[in-house]
Amino acid sequence: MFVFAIRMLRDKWKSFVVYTIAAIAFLEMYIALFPVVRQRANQFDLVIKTFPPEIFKAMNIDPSSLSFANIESYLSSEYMSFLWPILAIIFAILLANYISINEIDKGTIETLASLPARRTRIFIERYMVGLLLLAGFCVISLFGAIPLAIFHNTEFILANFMTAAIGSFLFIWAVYSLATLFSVIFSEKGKASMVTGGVLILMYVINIISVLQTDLKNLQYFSFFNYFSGSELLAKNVYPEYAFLVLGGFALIATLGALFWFNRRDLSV
Amino acid sequence: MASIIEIKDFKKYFGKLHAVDGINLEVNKGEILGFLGPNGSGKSTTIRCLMGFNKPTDGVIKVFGHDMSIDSFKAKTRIGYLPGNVKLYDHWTGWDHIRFFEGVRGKSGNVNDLIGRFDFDPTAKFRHLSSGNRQKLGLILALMHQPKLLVMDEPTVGLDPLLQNEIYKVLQEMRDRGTTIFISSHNLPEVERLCDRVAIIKDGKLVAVESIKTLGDKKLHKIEVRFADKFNLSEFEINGVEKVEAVAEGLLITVGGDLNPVLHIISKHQIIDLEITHATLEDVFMKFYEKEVK
Repeated sequence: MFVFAIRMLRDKWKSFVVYTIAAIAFLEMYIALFPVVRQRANQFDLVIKTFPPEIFKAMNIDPSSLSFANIESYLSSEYMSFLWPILAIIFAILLANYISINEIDKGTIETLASLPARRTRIFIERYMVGLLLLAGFCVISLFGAIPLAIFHNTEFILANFMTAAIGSFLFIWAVYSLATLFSVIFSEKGKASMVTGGVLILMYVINIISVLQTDLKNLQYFSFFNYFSGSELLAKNVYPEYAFLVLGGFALIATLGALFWFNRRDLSV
Repeated sequence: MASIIEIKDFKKYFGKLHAVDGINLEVNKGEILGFLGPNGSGKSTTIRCLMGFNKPTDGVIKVFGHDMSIDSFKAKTRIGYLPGNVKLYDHWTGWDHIRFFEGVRGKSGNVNDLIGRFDFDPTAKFRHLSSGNRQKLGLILALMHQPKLLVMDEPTVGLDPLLQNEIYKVLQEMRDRGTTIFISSHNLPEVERLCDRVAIIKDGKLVAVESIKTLGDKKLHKIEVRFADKFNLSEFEINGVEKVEAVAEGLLITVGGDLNPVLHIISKHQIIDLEITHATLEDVFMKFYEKEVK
């Protein structure tokens, strides 16, 4: 029962620990610095106002919520805007690759496929473990800020972290599903990872262009980054329903597409 | 006799490359079938589709009555598979692999016997194993659930003679218990020793499906002989001799079938040196091809 899931957990728990520890270590660094930053929050805010707002938009940061006066705004700009997505995206691609392409690349897929198990079972067990590990990463890498904030005598708003965890999980679920789809389409791990990374970079660029050029504004709807904003989630505690529907809907469709393709494709190449 | 494997009009194309181009083959219960062919002939492609790893472009492959492109997992409960170059998980030990397989297939009753028989250490990680020990682990995994059909892709390649003999013994015991064995090989003596029938594939087509006895009749030998006395090339051009070539102080004679008539003629001469070798499998293929061209 759940042999493939248990085996994946045994194989991937070390990666999970490494990525979550890395996230916690960055959180600790930022939160430890926060009391000093907050003392000079007014000066930072003045400096921030001297920058053109387009720069912040290009970094997926809402300038109206950019302030170092509270921990949520501070973490949303320092941690959620760039560092957390990078860590989470790399971890999601790593987990997606485990489902099949690592084995196709190394040639171990024949051993796996010689076992009496439906491809659907292998896919679902592994996919769900990946999703579980990503959910765990989201919870620890965001709620991990709370004990650290308590330790450093910093006030926090729990509801904001809850919203950030949900929004972040939906974003990374969509990324994971995209990476899974490419990992079952291609037969080389490097190619699949590169295409996933390329599509995400393209989405990031599209999001920036749509912000900077009003005539291309509608392009923003084709970017995951339009539906994931650290400043909206953590600083403002806002998560629009349509973002939930778009990311969740995409994740479901991409997952079903990946499962369909995995069942049809040649495993031994 | 019941067919365990039924291959009907099987084709596998990769774009313009016709890796397998319409083969038909049946393997009966308890039979050992040798699947022969040079590199790139379509052997591995056939085996991959036979195991359900890949989907045929056209045609049907059934094992135990199950269509392997639709419900291969049902047939796989009774199939043991050994790839030519065993690739397993580098950071897993032998026990990790065995327990993983048991987790899917159910508890095995003969793992310890197999470990003892092959003198295998299951505590070592796969990446630390020699090629021979990797092959041993692959064999243990293929045999541990006592399969009714064993599919092997060049099982003894790169193994020392002792281990090769142990594998031959295991296969012969399995055959005696009624296990059907489908074995792909380049090794003609191995095929002759083990198999009841052979299927020869070249360029994606079956060029012959023969009993091993029939293949033996067609088997080629090369006799290189150096004479101390005078000899005439034409005296060796008798029935059964495929080709006679002059070499330094002697002849290179290619013989199909019975060697005795040629040896009888050779024995009439003073001989300095004599060497008889099996022709390569490729020579046997060529013989089949010549027949096809004619």
